[in-house]
Amino acid sequence: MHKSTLTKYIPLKASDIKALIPAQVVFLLTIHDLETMRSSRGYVASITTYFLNKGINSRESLSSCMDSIAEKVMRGCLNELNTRVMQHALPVTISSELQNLLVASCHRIARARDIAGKYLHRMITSLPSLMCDEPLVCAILEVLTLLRHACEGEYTDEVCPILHLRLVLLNASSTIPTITLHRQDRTLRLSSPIHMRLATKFWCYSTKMLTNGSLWALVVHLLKSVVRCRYVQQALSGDCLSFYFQKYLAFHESIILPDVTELGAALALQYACRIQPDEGSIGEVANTGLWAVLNPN
Amino acid sequence: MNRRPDFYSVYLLEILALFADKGVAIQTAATANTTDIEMKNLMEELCSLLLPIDALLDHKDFDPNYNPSSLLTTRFRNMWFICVLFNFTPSPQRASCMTDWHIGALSRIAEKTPPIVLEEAYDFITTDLEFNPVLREDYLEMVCWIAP
Repeated sequence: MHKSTLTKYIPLKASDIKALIPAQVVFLLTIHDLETMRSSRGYVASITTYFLNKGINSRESLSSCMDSIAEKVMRGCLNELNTRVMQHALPVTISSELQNLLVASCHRIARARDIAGKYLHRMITSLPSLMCDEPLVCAILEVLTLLRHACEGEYTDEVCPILHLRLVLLNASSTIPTITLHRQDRTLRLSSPIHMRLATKFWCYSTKMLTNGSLWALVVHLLKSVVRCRYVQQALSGDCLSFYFQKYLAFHESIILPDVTELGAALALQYACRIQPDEGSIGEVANTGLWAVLNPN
Repeated sequence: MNRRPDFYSVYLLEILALFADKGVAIQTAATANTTDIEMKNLMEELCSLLLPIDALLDHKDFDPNYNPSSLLTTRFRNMWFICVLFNFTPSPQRASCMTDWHIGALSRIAEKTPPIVLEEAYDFITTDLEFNPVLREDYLEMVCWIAP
């Protein structure tokens, strides 16, 4: 009975399902049912947590079915969000969940990173108005800054450096979060009112991963969708977007030190300069090479 | 209970353990010669445990998602395995004991459930799935293969 139910959910994986033991079938149905219920209540980011375990990822038939289930959950969630956006009834948690997905898209485990990146990309592509959200725009810039610092730490710090970054917060009324980069155990822990609940771990990215990896493409896509999307422009005037960037830049101006480049701030500046304040519209952003941002000197 | 928030997690652990024990008892009864009425009563008893779990998780000052222990993760995972096994979750053949109250309670429990797979869990497939004590092999063989 349970096997046939699972086969109905993911018919293309029927041959893989045949090879599964009953306990694995129950596990896959649990992922499907639990994540469907969660996503219908606006909690979309937890799907990535199933792809973190090494033992699960090493089982080919199981992980292939998990991919299909994640795909099905994503599709169902997007359909529901598309309906709810018409009724102006998006779940209130969606902003923090998108940030959690953004954090998960930087995870050291490639499968979790891929799933989170894919989910985020689809949500933004399908519902561009989700980017009309100051916390999310700031989170993108923060993550970039963080990754840049991780890259710098790879070359400059030899023994167990710990960087404490004080980053601008999304919710101005709450406390400023502290982000700690710890290289010895190759993890980066983010603790903020939003991220503390997940106790997320980051991989210390090498410069090569940042420049060539899909993460960079994702972040650039997200930023471009902020400034280019017609729907976003309608909902969010150029002045308002400029305010987000300027607020972010104003905070970082006070903590910039010599020999430290704030990648998020550099990009915010680049995009903010393109906004035409008198008309309230957003101009085209030149496709600047990444190295110009990474190596301003 | 509202006046003793320090007991929230202890009570939750106990009630989740009770849920798992009842789930195992039902599996054992199903493989023995138990009448349909007895099975129905047992299922209703199990269903009714969802309501106190939901009531406990409803407290604003209690969030098991924040820094959950591995024991709590395991017990939540076992609870969900049993819910799926007995079709409490949305499925084509949902259990008859699941009323609208239970369905709402289960959705709210899903919202507060911590991640059920731990990154650091060693040999998850063998320890937590194949040899999981809350999933009886003979019952699983019976329900996973028969046609709906």
